[in-house]
Amino acid sequence: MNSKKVVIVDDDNAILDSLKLMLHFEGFDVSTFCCRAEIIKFMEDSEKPHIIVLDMWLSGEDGREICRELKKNTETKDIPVIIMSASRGLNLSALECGANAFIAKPFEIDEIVKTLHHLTA
Amino acid sequence: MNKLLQNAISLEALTSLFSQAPVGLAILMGKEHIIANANQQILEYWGKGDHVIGLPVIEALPEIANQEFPGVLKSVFETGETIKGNKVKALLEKDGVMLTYYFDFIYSAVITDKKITGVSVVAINVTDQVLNELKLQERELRFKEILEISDYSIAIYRGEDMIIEFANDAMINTWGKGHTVIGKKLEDTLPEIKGQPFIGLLKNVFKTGEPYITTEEKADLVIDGTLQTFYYSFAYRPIKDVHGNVEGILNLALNVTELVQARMIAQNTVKEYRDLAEAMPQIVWTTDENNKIKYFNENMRKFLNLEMDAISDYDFSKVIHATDYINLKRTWDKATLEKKLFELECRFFDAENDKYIWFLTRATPVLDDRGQIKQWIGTCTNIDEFKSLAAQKDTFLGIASHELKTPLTSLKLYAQVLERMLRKTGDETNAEFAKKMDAQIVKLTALINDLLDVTKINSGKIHLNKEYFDFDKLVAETVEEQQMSTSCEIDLQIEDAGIVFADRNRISQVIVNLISNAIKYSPRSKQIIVKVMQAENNVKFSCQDFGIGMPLDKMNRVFEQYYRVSGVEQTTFPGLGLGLYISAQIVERSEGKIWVESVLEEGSTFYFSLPLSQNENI
Repeated sequence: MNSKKVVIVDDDNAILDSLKLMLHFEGFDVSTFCCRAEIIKFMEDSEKPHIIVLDMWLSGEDGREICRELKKNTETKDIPVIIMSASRGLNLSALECGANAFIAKPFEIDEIVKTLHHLTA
Repeated sequence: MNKLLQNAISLEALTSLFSQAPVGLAILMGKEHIIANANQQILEYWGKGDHVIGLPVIEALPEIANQEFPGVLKSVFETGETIKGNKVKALLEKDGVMLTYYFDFIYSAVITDKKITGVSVVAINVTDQVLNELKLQERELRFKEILEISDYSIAIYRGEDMIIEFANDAMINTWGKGHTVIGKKLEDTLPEIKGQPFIGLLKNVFKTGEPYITTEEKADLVIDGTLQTFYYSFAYRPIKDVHGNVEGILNLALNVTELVQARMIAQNTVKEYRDLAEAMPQIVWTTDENNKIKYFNENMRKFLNLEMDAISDYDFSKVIHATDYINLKRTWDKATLEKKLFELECRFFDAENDKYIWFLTRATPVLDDRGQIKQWIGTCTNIDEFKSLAAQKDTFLGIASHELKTPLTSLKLYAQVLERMLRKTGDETNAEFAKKMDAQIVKLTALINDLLDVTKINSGKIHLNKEYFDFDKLVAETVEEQQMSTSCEIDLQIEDAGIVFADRNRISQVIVNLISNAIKYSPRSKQIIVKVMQAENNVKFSCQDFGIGMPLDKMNRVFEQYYRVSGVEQTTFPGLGLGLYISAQIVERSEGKIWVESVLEEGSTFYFSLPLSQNENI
């Protein structure tokens, strides 16, 4: 049984719920957050996740900045980050800010699961 | 007189007068008309010597036997009445040749003792005069014949009353009258010209002897019972007698009604076009063959805040955005070479509002008979608001498309969760429904992606992440993926095409678009053929279907935005009409070319090519 910890950050509750449900269904241990403050606090207070799935556009916040912040922090810099966005053309931009992978919304669950496994192997 | 002769003149004098008179004189005696006396002049007329004296005249001049003279002589001899002849023709033999003469003559009875004893002949040779008159008549006749057949309308008026002496057919037609007008007064013939200047002008020419010549004069004439307006170029020339007195007027006229009316129409047309140009909300202008502004409407003058005479030398580089000015020049030069219409969006500086305004500049060349450009006619339409609205629309579509994807993402996730959960519980039927729901979400996502791409293309924000990649490998992968989602057989015929430098994902999108289109538009066919090959310095991709095809006139339009081939069959196919537009934009932005060949009811083949990379080691 896979029990890798996955953190999902998105400002859309429906996405958080459905993705959590799906990844849970696939055997992941999923925590969800909707803003920078929540994830930063979680990272400071809790056990570090195996991987972070981060939306590029949170309400009023740029997911790429959060990614940069995580990658600068010595405690979190090695945690793989997947950035997801509805803008397919921003894949390079996502990788430039240190993300390990980019997934365009909407995506196939197999695609994200495959990527999660790949990055946490 | 007799008394005078008896009393004062001697017989000698009379004989001298008789023999030296410059007229022919002869005395013919008896009813045989024996030549009793004939002076030298008449002998010369006859061409005889004085040996004929004593001979009957018929014997002396046998050639007159069948002419009128013997009868006249007989009549005078018998009746005693004097007979005068004027310009009477006589055929007389001279040196064996019969010659024609004309004579004025007087035949009078010679009376002796109250009895007629003979006939005196006085004859004057008027042959030269008659021949001259005949020649003159012939000339006049010929002249009138020429006048008759002339294309000009010609008439001759005699006397101060302007009696119509001659009018050729053209003039008769001009007046709309018959030949009965000859001999009538002009003003009686054409009562409608009363109040018009013609009679006055004619009388003035008659009075002064000065010709009157005019062009394109208006004349109202009754033709076929209707008063109609005509235009004539005409001349009234005085005809003078030998003393220089005006005895008539020669009227030459040329009907120029059609010419004048055509010019009036042309003038009106020009005026109408000018008025139209002034009424248009656009800037309207024309140039000469050297692209120098010749005409412009008030809108241009107002926009540039210039006086009318300052605009022909105006330096437009001052008001056109520098980038657009270069584009305009390049586009115009190209259109000049090709002698074709051009269209360009460019920004003009609006000094009043201190900002650049977008205009659509459109101009078409006007060619002369030799096919050379003689002028350009152009318009500049303010599209600033349109551009602004279009940008707003693109922004809106961009945001809307992006926002639509958020609920779609969760919807898709739920559909996939649902499918997996149902399969886990063994409910395959409902799992299939969930799968179909997911497939529809994929289609919806594709449509939204198309809308997003278009907004990016229109706003110039589409970004190509170029990289070197193996073109045939990409095609093989894409075809394999496509084959998995269709029952249609994709026949892939691939050659080692080479490496290209382009956006791999976007080129894959083009391939998917073309294959999807081929499948979509060939519902009754189960095969499409995809080929990849190298052609010169390009890789060439083709996708052939055996579907509905399209007519020739639609082929060049399929790459336009929102264009969908119309027709009974095509309307039943889904889509926004964006896929080919996006494909064309991607290919063109990758320095490639895209085109189509198609036959209605037989199918279409879409092609695109991309330049081969020079870097073979990638």
